[in-house]
This record gives sequence, C-alpha cells and structure tokens, in this order.
Amino acid sequence: MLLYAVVPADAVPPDKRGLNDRNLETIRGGLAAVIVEESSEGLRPTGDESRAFAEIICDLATTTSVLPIRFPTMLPTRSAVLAELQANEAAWRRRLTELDGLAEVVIHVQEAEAVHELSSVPDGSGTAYLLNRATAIHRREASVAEISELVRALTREIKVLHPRQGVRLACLVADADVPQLRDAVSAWQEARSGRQALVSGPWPVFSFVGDRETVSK
Amino acid sequence: MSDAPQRWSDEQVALVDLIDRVIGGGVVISGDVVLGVAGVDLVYLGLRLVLAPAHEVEQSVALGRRSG
Amino acid sequence: MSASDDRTSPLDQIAESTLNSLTARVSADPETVERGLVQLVLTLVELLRQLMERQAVRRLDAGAMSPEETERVGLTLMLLEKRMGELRDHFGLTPEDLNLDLGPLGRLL
Repeated sequence: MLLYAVVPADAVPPDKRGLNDRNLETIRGGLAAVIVEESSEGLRPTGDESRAFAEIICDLATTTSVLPIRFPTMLPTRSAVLAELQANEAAWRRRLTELDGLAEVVIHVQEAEAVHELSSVPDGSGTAYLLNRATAIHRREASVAEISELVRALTREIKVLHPRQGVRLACLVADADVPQLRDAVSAWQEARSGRQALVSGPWPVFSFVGDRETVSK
Repeated sequence: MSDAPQRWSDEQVALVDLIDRVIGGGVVISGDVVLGVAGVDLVYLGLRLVLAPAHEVEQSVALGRRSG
Repeated sequence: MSASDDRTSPLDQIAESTLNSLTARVSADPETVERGLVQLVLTLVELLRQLMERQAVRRLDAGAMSPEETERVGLTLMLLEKRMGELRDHFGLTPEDLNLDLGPLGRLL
C-alpha cells in the first residue's frame, strides 16, 4: 500500500483516486487515520509521480488537516499500517492539532553576484580560495538571518532547507498571514537592487510534520 | 559543468519546491527502510538515490511537462 | 531478518537495511543500482567537503589559523572541489544531483 497522509480519525474519507488509479482508502485508528492506496509495485520518486502525489496531498489538505507522509512510503498490509497508527497516533494527533490553520511557504533568496567560480582564483592561492569561500558563506548566512528576522513575527517555525537556486527557508505560517509575508519579502527585495526574493506556496506542511526541532531564528 | 538554468520562472521554482518537499519532507514511517547514520536517514536517502536522481526532477520541470 | 536483534551491531543493521532497500521492490537492474551507489558516495563526499569548508571558514573567522595553515587548508579544499567536479563530470552528474536534503545533518551546513 502506498501511504499518502496522516489525518484526524474523524476525517471524512476522500472521494478520489490515487497514483495507481485506485480509490484512496482510510485506515482508522482511535485518534488518527492514514490515507492509503493499494499499490502493486514500488513507485519511483520521479518528477511526474512526485508531482501527482503532491497534487493529491494539496487536494486532501483543502478538506482536512493533514500530515503528509514522505513519498514514496509503502507498507505491505493493512495491519502494518494499523501497527504504525498504534505506535504513533497520539503524537500525530497532537501535531495535527498544533498545525491546524497553518501552512508552509518557502522563501528563496538569490543574490545577483555570480556563484563563485574556481577560475576566479587565477593565482591558485589557497588563501584566496578560502577567503572567497568565506565571503560566499557569510553572504548566505546574512541572507538567512535577515529574512528570518524579517518574517519572525509572522512565522511559528523556520527551517533552513538545502540551497537550490539560492538560499531557501521553509516557514510555518498561519494561512491568514501568507499575504502579509509575501508583501514583506517583496518589499525587502525592492529595498536593495541585485537580489531576487521569491515566496512559493502556501503548501501543506511537509517540512514541519515532526515535533518542533527547528530553531526559530 | 552544471546544465541547470541560471534563472527559472516563478512557476518552475515553486514546482521544484513542491516536489522537493514531497520527497524530502513529510512523516517518515519506521517500517520503510529507515536506519540512520549519525541520525540522518541514510538508508532512505540511499533508496531515493537508487530510484530517481534529483536532476530528473529539475529536468522535467525545465522541459515544462504538464504546466501547472 | 529482524533489525531489532540486540546482538546485531549497528553496522550490520545498516548493511542489512541497505541491502533490503536496494533489492526489495526495485528492479535488479545493475546499472540503476550502480548509478545510485555512485551518486550516494559522491553525495557523502560532497557533504564532507562542505562540512570541512564550513569548519575552515569558522576557524578563519575566529583567527585560529596561521597564514601557513590558511594557505594549506585553502589549497586542500580547492583541490578537493576541483577533483569533485571532475568526478561529477566523469559520472555525468550535476551539482544538483549531489544536493540532498540531509535532515539534521543539513543544519550543520
């Protein structure tokens, strides 16, 4: 079975099909439930399949609070799913409650200065190289600190993601505060030329499903 | 010699974020091959690498399949 | 094949789980497996490189390195980055291919 998400035990069963074109099922525990789909073979986390999975999760999230399950996660039987529920549903239910009304956005920051090139150190000096790297790292840290400070009042938790096209921060935000956060980031981008800041989402809370482990800067 | 595009559209960035979070985030179920080294889900990472290199994600975004 | 046997060393458990994950539910296509292994190995090396680079910058910031040490460490890291680039090219991997979400480890970077 392919696992999709953890939902409250009393969640309305979804009326939709999954990646394998089978009906999604709800396996219920006492406190929480897991949305699953019969799946005869293992799935690859390719772009297309991941995207289809993501769309289903986003759709589920419009009707109920969800903790998305990492894709692809497969368990062999219903009883295996029930065993996981028994072990975890208390914690999951707590987290669902904490995350109610919250969403995730990802803030990207990319500076205009070119990514450092090895060839920019023509004299082959180790010292010059290290200074160059130090500058890049400091710049990245400064961006993270600035953005974190900027959105601190609006976010519950912040998690630094690995860089992709620049620095990325995942932020846990109340649904109602998302427009304000976008405006703040937009204004920050305008305030100094040469940097690009982008907010993607809001998404279901993929990055914040665990207990609070991140440090809010 | 990266062949990744320098600047992507907002839609492409958002799509990569979403797919990245679906694979990299979410609840990790203990039944699915998760044993860690230094607390990192190393084995899960290994499985993901075996199944789908990350650049497939970006390639399918860059090729603009199924525009959202 | 229980992973909860207390007499099994952690290394055995990891090896067993890795073997399970590589063979279970995945095609046994050797090329796929090899490619995945190469990517995993290079990703780990890249992680170590980033950690070392990070640590070197910290020491530089703290003024904890002599000029000779700075030159030596910088040169080592520079050569390591160059070699990583060559290995990536050799296996047809982009920098993004080695850029994994490392969970708790990622916060070290």
